[in-house]
Amino acid sequence: MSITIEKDHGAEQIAPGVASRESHVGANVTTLAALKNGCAAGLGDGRVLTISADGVAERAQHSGAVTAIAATADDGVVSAGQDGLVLLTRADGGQMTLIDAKGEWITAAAHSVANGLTAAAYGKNIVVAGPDGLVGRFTDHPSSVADLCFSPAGDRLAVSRYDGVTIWSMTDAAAPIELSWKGSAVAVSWSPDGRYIAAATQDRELHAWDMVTGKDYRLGGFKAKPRQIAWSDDSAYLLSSGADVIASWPIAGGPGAFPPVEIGYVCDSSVSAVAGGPIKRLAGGFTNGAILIGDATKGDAMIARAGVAGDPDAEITRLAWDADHRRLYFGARNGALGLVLVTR
Amino acid sequence: MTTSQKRTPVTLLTGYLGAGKTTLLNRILTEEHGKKFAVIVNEFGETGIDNDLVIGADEEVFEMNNGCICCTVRGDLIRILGGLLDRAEKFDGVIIETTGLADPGPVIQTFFVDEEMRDRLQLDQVVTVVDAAHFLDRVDESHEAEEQTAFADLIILNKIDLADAERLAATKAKIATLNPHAQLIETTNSAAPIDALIDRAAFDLDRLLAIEPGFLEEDPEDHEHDDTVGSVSLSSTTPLDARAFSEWMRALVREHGPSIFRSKGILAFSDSPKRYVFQGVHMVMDSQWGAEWRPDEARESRLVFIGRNLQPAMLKQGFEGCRAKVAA
Repeated sequence: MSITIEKDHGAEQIAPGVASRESHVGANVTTLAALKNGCAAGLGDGRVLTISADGVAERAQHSGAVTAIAATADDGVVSAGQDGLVLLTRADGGQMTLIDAKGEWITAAAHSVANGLTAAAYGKNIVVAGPDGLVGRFTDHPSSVADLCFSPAGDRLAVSRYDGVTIWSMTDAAAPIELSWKGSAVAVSWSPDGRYIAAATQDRELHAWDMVTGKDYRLGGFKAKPRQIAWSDDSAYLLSSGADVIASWPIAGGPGAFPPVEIGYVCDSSVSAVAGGPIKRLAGGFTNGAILIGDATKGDAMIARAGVAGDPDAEITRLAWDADHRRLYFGARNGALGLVLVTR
Repeated sequence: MTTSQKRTPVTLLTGYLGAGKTTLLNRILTEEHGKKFAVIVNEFGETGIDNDLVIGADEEVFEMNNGCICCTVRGDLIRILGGLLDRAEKFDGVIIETTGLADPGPVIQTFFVDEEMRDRLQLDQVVTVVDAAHFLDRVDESHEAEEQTAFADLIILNKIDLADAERLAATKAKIATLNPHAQLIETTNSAAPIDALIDRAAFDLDRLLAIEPGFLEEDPEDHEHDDTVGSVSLSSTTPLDARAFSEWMRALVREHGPSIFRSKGILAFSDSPKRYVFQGVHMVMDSQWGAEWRPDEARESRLVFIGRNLQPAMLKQGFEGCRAKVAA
């Protein structure tokens, strides 16, 4: 299948110090990951694309939607799909199947660059694979797995589910740690310093656990169910989708001890995607297609991409920063896939 | 609702085991009707059709943290429907099959409580398949068979070839006491027209406004209202006090929400020239303002409750207490 780029806006100046460039890839962008040179995107029609200065290339094909994508330490792409497959596509194009769930939808997957493990969830089950094959299987979850993520060191796996989060050890057969909170935890994220775990809940809240003190914190006030969670690189702020601003909760003193810094209100819209970064570059994508890059120290933001009125599919579905936080990649439900260049 | 685009309609298909749901699903999946449906089933493999548009569900009922027993949702459906919405392909409709034993309440509430479901999908109608030959035996021994019938917008009375005239008449009479407002189609081999199953917008408040006169009229006869499922219709030609009505409804569903399966109403308030339309499932309510009453029109408020153990006298008294003190 060939890629048709329907439009290329070129470098469009939005705000001083920011330029954006985008293409249209012909299907909704469901998932995104930054690579060393460019990014990898998973689409609703099953394609996995990489986009770089060399252009767009199709790297893998799932049937059904791509549900998760991640970059490996050596610039390969791990992709999971509704066909039950988790594929590893290496930078040189070589491909292997890491996990085969026999047609069951892979609903969530994560990869650790620290130790090369890949975990995938289907139904109530999780399978973990290393570069040389399966290394673990965790099947005792009380309900279907909603989301999962590795600890920064890759030695533990946090799994969100109904009534909380389960934490499995990847290094021994220790009994899992159960973090209980009533209700459905739809997304989970580990802070970059490894201290906190945050979950987004069906009840339009965030719930955070301090893994050092064992305390837990309830962060509410969202108008929609938060579905994406991110952290500033220094773990000082927790941000999420679900409000009409990029709500960034200070962690000092305990999450929720202070109200969130509210960055970048967009009229008649709400935050649908977030990406962490340095505290001066916290990114939020909005349901109307707008992208803002905020500064948590000042509470202000610059517009990196303008919104589109009247298109319910303009919604930004994913954001991902590159390693030095100069390029912010974005994908939208209407098939827009592009990058924002921060030039100063 | 914030989206201007047409939302994908979702039909909920219920019915007791053996009533003919699987036959109906097989027809939907195999017949040439020019429409593309995704089908979510509980018993995977029962349809015997290998099709990537048939997806198995786990029936995971999730409670919300607000402590409201009625605000349960189906977490598995949120996940599966979210996954279908992530696909690039578009569907003419989604059909969700529930098992014979499942309460349809949490499935219906999912489409009102979860904002993503609400924004992108439209609960279209509840279709209940009833076995004409065995329904009367089932309904006496099972709450579920009664409740599925009471929740329905469309009842497919199937296997009419296997019931004699007397039994068929008795079955229809029983259905009329459980749910006099549902549309009824009689079939053999579940041969209902595909068009009747989707895009009927039974939960659409605009459609509720456009329903033919008589739909919400008083029940044809007084029923025995004991510990059984039935309906109560109320009407008033005196305009209602908006505040009194709102307080009454809130207290009513707080106290009796679990036993009120469906409620619908078109109301005239003393302080508004417009119709007020609402519908509810247990404690979850959806409402909006409709068109203005015409000067030559009787401003008649009508509402109907379908549920278990409804108390007509109590409902009537409460409703009459909502009448505005001074006619506008």
